[in-house]
Amino acid sequence: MKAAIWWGIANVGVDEVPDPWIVNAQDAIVKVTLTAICGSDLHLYNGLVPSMEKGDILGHEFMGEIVEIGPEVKERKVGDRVVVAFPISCGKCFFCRGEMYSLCENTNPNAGMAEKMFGHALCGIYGYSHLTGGYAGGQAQYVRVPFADVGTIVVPDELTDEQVLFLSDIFPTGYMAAENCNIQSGDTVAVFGCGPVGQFSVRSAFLLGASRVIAIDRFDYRLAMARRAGAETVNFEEVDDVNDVLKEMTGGRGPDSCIDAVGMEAHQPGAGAIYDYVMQQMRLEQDRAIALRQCILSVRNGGTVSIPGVYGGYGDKIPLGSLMNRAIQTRTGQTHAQKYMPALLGRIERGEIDPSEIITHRAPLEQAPQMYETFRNKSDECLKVVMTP
Amino acid sequence: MSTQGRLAPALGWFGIALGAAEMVAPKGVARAIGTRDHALVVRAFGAREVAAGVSILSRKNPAQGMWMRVAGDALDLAALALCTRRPENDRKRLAAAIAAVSAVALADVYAAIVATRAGNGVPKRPALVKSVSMMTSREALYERVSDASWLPEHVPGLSGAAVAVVNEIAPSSLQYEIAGLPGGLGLTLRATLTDQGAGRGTALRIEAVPGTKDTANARFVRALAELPGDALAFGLHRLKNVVEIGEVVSAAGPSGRRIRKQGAKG
Repeated sequence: MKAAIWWGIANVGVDEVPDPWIVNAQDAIVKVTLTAICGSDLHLYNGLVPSMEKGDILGHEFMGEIVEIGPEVKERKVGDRVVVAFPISCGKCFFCRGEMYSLCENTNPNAGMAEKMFGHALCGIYGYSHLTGGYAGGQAQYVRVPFADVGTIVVPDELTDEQVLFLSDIFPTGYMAAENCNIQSGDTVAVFGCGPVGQFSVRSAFLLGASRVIAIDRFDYRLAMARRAGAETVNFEEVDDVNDVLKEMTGGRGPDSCIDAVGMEAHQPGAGAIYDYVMQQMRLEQDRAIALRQCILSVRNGGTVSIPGVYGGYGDKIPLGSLMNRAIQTRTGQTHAQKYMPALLGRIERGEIDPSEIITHRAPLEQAPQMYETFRNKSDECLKVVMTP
Repeated sequence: MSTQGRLAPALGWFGIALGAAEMVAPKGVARAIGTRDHALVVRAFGAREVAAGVSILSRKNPAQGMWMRVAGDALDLAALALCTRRPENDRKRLAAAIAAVSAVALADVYAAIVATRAGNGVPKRPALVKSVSMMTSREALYERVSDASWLPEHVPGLSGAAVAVVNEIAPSSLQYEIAGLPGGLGLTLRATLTDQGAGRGTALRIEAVPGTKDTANARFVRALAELPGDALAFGLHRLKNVVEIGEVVSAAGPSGRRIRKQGAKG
C-alpha cells in the first residue's frame, strides 16, 4: 500500500509499504477513504517531537471502511463506515472507565519511554512518534486500528466524509478546549490561534453558550474564517500589546477564559521571538510558549486558561506569578476524543455545525509532501488539508 | 549532620574558593607562596581544586572527590618541594605553604577515610521496586500472579529463569525465588497486593529482597544488575495488559524502515 512516511525533518515521502495486519484480537483493518494533516503533524515535520524514526507512517486523523476484524471485535463489522479517534484506548483501564481515553494505561507499549519524558505515560496515538507507542499512522491506504469497538464511531451514509472526518481529532479537541473553560452565560472567550483547532474552539465556545469570542491570529484569511463563525478578531501583528487590546475589549477586566490553540511553535512580532527561537533551536526549551504566556497574562482574575495546543517538553518564562497570584485555573490534555464523538456527531447530523467548512485544500495522498510544505508555510491561504488515498 | 560529616563539604567549598583564586589571580597566589610567576601551572592546579570541590559537593557520597583532593595535596607538596631547590624562590614562604598544605592534607585524608567508611555502610544494591495498579480484585490478581510464569514470559532478562513461589499469604503477598539467571545467580522478589478502594483496582508492588537461598550481598547486587527496573516495569505493563485486556498490546505494523535499509530513502 501507499503511505506518507516521515524521513526526517521537513522530509515526507509517499512510498510503498506492506499492508497492515491483525495483531491483537480487538483490531480492525480500515481502508482509509479520507485523511488529514493535523497542525500537530507539523511538529513532527519540523522535528520538534522526539523519538520519531525514519520510516514512520504519519497521520492520526482518518476515516474509512472496515475491511477486516479480529476475533474479539464485537460491536463493529466488516463494511462499517467509521471515523477513528486519534487516541488508542483500551476501554478497560482506570482512565478509560473514567472517559479519560487519552490517558489509557494499556495502549502505549513504550510507556517506559514516555514516563522518562513526562513523568507518567499517555496512551498510544497513531503516527505520532514512539513516545506514543510507534503505531503506524492513517495517512495511508490501510491502517490497523486496535480496540476497534472503543476507538471508532460508525457514521451515517447521509453525511459526507468531509463532514465527519474531523470527529477523529480537531473537532473534539476544539470542543474539549471550550468545555474546559466551563463557559457561563455572558462569558467572553479569547481563542489564541485560528488554525483548525482554533476554528473549532471558536465554534464550540459559541455552541457552549459563550456570549463573545475573540479570535487572535496574524493571518487575515484565518481571522476572516473566525469572523464568519461570529468571532471578533485581533491581528496580533497589528497591535502593540494583545493584553491591552483584550482588556480594552472587555471593560478592563480581561476575557473570562483564554484558549491556547497554538502550542509549541508560536510566533510573535519583534525581538522577543528571537529569544524563543534561539532557545528552541539550542534545545534549551522544547516549547515556544509565547501564546501560553499571553493567555495567562490576558485572562481575567480567577479565569481559566485552556490548552489544547500541543506542547512537547519544557517551556521557558511561564508567568507562574500571574498564574498563582490571580487564581487562574488551567485545564489541558490530549483530547479524550471517544468521549465527545457521539454527541458531536449528533450536532453535525442536526446541522448545528458543518466541520467541512474549514477545509481549504484537497489532494490525493501522493501529494502529501507538497501539502505538508504548503500547510507548514501557510502558503496559498492553507488552513486544512484533506487527502484521498 | 555530624561534625565528621560537615568536614568534607567544608573542604569542598574551601577547595573551590582556593581554586577560583588560583585561576583568577595566579600571579598573586604564586607570590604568596614564595615562587616565581608560574601562572599556567597555578591556574591548572586551581582548576583541579575546583573540580574536586564540585565532585565533593555534587555527590551523595563525597569519598571520590575527597580522594581527588588527597591526590592533589600530594601533587602540591611535590611541586612545592621542587620549588625549594631553586635559590630565587622565597624559602620562608615556601616553608609556610608546605606546612599549610600538609595540615590541609591531613584533614583531607581524615575526611576521605570517613567518607569512604560511610559509603561502605550505604547499601550499594540498586533499589528495585515497581508498582502498578490493575482493574481487578485483589483475589483475582493474586490468583494470576501466584502462577509465576508471567515473570519469565514478560520480563526481559528473566526468560529461561526458573521461578518458584514461596511464602504465600493469600491474597496479600508472596515471594518469587528466581534461579538460573546468567552466571548462576539467584534473586528473590516480594509481591505485595493492596486493594486501592473506590473502584481503583488492586496495586501490585514488586520489590527485590535478600532471598532465602542467596543472601550473599555481592551475588544479590550482581543479580539485580541483570534485572534493571525498566525491565521489571516493562514486564508489569505487559502483565497489566493481560489482566485487563487478555493479551499483550502490540504496536506492530507496517513502516518504511525496510525501505531505508535497502537504501532507497533517508
